[in-house]
Amino acid sequence: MNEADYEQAVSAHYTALYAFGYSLAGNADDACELAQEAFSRLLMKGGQIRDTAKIKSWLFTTLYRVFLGWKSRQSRLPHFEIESVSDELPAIAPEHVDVLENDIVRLALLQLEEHYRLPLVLFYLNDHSYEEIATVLDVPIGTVMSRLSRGKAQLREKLLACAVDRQPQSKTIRLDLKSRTAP
Amino acid sequence: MNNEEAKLILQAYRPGGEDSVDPQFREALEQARLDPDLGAWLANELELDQRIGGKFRDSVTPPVHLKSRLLAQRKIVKPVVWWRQPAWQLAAACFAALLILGVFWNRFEGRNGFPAYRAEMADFVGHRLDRLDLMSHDLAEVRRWLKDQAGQGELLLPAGLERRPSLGCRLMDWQQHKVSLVCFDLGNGHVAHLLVIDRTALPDAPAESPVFTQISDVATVGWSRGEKTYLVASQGGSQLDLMKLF
Repeated sequence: MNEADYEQAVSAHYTALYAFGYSLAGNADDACELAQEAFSRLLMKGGQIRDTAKIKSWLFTTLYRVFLGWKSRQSRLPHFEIESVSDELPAIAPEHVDVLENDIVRLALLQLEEHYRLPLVLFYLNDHSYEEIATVLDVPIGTVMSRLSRGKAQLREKLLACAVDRQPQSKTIRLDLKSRTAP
Repeated sequence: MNNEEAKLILQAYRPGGEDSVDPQFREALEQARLDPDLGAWLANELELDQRIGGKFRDSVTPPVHLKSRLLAQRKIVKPVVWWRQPAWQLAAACFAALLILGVFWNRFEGRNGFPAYRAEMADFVGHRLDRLDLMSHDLAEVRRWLKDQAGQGELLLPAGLERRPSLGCRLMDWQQHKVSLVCFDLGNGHVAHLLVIDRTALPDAPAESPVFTQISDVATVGWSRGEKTYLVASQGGSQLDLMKLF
C-alpha cells in the first residue's frame, strides 16, 4: 500500500472507525488505540488487499478482531443467538429525539448489550450495507437484521424514558409508556 | 411477504446507499409504496433513524490529534520493498532470517520433545487440573471408558499402580495428540496422575527404564512400553513414592 492510498484510507474512514472503536471499548483512549492498531495493520498487510473497495470492511473487521483479542485475554465472550424478533418498537416520535442531547443518545446506545450495540452502531454510522455489517461481525445476515430490530427497540425504549424525563408535561408519551408491552 | 416481515427488513434499510438495489429491500420498499400504513411507518422509521444516527455521530468525534497520529504511523511502519534495499542490507537480513529460523527450529523441536511434554503435564496436574471426565474407583471401568471414548489400547501399568484405587480419568490433547489421564490414590494424601500418550508423538520418548525427575513441587517418572509413553506426576509426592510403584 503506497502513502497516497494510506492517507486516503485514513481520511475516509478514521472518524467512523474511531466511533466503532468507541462503541466497543466505551472510552476515547481505547478507541484511539484500536483505530491506530487497525491502521497500523493496514500499513503492514494492506498489500494483501487486492480490491481497494474492500479496505473499509477490512479495517472494521480488523479493529473488531483486535478488540476481541483484548477481550479474550480477560474473559470468554458470551455467545447469544436470537431465534426470533418479538419486541415491539416503542412508540417514540422523531421530535422526542430532538429534545435529547447528543451525549444522551450516545450513552443510551453504549448501554445496550454488545451484540445489539455493534450492528446498530455500524448501521447508524451509515458507512456499511447490512451485508458488510454481517461480514465485519462475522454473523449471518438474518442475525444482523434481527439484532438491528431488537437493538432499535431497546434503544428507543431508553431514549423514550429520557425524553419523558425531559418533557414531563407530555401526556402522549406517558400514555405510550403505560400501553407499551413489556419486553 | 407480509407487513411484519417487511418491517423487519426495512428496519435495516437506509436510503441512498447500496441497500436500494438489494432485491430483498426492493420488494419490501415496493410493499411500503403500495400500503399507506406501511409507508407511513417507514417514513417515521427513516426520520427517527436519521435523527438518532445524526446525534450519535455528532457525539462521537475523534480527538483532534488522532488523524495526525494515524498519518504519522506511515513513517514508523513503512514497509520497504526488498528489491530497493542495498545488497548488504539484504545479506544481513538473510543472515538474520536464517538465525531466527534456527532458533525457532530448536524451540519447535524443544516444544515437541519429552522434557517439554513432561514439564507441561507436571504443571497441568499440579496447578490447573480442574475436573475429570469420569469419576470411578474401578480401574476396569476406567480402562473400558478410555477404550470406548478414545480407542485407547490396553494400558500396561506397573504392578504398584495396578494395586492402587483409581479416582477417575480424563481425555486431553497435547500438540494435537490424545493424552489419557488416569488418577490414582496413593494412600498418603497424594495423588498419582498417570498420563499416557502415543510413543510416536515424542521423538525423544524415554526408554523402558523409568526416568525420575522433580519439577518444582511435582515428582515425575516417565517410561515407555509397547506403543505408549507413560508419565506419572504427583504434586507434593516424593520420588520414593513413585519408585514404590515399580
